[in-house]
Amino acid sequence: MNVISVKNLSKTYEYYKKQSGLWNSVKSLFHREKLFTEAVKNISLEIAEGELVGFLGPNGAGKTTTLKMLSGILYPTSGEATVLGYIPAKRQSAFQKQFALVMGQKNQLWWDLPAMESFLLNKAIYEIPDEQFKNTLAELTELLDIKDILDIQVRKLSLGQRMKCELTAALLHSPKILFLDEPTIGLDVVSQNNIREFLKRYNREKKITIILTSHYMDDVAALCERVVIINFGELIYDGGLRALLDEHVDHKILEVTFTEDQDQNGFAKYGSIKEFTARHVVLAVKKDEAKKVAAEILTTMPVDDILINEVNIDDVIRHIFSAHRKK
Amino acid sequence: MKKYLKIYSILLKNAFSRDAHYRADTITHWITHIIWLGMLYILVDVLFRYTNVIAGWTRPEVFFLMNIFILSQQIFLFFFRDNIYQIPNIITDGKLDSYLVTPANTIFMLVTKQISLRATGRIITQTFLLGWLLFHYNLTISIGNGFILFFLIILGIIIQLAHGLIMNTLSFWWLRIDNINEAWFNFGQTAKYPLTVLPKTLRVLTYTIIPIAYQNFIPVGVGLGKLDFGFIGLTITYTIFLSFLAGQFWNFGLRRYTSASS
Repeated sequence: MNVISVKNLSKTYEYYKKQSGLWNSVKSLFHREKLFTEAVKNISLEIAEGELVGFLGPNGAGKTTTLKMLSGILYPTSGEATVLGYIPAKRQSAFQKQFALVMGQKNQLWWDLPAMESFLLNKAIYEIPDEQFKNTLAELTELLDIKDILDIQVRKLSLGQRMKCELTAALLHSPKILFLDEPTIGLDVVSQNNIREFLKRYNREKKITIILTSHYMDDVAALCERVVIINFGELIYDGGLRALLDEHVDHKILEVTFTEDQDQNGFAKYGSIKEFTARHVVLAVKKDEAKKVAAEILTTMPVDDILINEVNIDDVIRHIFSAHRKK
Repeated sequence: MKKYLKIYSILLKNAFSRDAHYRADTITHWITHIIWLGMLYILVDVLFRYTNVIAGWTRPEVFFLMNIFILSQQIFLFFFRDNIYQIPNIITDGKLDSYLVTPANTIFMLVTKQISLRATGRIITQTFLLGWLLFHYNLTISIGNGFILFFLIILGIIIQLAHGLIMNTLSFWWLRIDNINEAWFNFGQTAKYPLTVLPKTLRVLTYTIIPIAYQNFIPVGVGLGKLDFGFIGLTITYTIFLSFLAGQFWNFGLRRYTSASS
């Protein structure tokens, strides 16, 4: 069953041209040129219950704007969106009680107070029954390992601890949909991993639908089977991450270390040379030939170590964005 | 209703917890108020050394009017002022996002989030001063008129709130409106004195576009029997009209909200 349905959704922002310099600032008091930018252009998609979908795109691509239209923060300029059967822009309480939005760059907890005070406020706002609140809080604090920090002022917590508390606050009312905008931004590697593990488990156990935007490919690779790629406001890909890689990647990366010095010319026949030093080479080799080439190198050269790697997902996505920009 | 009372009780509790960390600020705030109040009284007292009546108002009446003005301002500060002045920042920084996704009335959450407990000392001071004024100058207000005065002060605060919301809603278009808030605050100070000193055209503005007459002039005027009861009807009508207008204007402005990029 689809919980999100989007048809030709568009958002155009209007703004005024701002030129530099004092004279131009004075002129702008009397006349300003109005400009328009299409942040989202005719996006259509369907998301089923329990899916974990990653929205990918460079800065300003339109990911967050789409998320904000789906959560009712922004009115679409045109097109339709229904989430759980509701029109988000109407901001009905019954709808708002069924989703949560967490923004990695915006603090929603009370800064000067312990996180527990924000949780209690959310309990009142979402009208969560006492028993449900107690059980959900116990479960989330256990899963996120934050039992010991609930009574510490939020401003004294680390970024990772704050994000865990933000997630707890957002999930207390057991939403059916969770919108996450850059949830791991600024976090260290360990915290990023903890958040990812939590989201994966929560999605699996609660069947909650999660829509995630992130600049970190690791987030998307670890969590999302389905990715939606948005560039310049346009949806340029919607499908499985594996299928995306299969479609855009025709090679693997072969990394070989030798015990003796080698001549660079000897490798050109295998594929394109990415890096070369006398005892180390990185080759891009056609996918279906990777094993054969590896075997040949192993048998004909003094190999110390050999690795066959997948292409870095970041590189693939960057390639897709750049190809789309050229179009 | 029960839900909003519950939310408000939590906000009040949070305000106590938060302000407990800033005791020094609360005390400083109270002391500066006492000094300012003293200077204001000296100024008005000097004026009355040269005349017995200003625009139909005697010294005790002006002191009473002034006190009600300050009390009304401090109650407004206690409940709403910081929240209203924060609206432009909340809009331009995109913090409004989190208000828009929660299942509670956005305007309610915006105008009640912070409760300025630092105004408590000032409210208590003003209440004592009012009692002293009534006793010292033998000003008599019947119980009925006392209730009317209290009721009109509350409506005056609601009008201030609605007016403040309308002005700060403009930040959906203009982003920065600090100057308007400052101008409004400065012009509002006129209400410390009897508005009958103003020319008639300017006085009309104080009942309509810049509705400062409702803060203290009408409540005190009716309470002291200087204005007729028709002003009660006017105040009720204007409160309903302005509150409705503020809500509609906010919803209209919200369509222009662009949030802020992350």
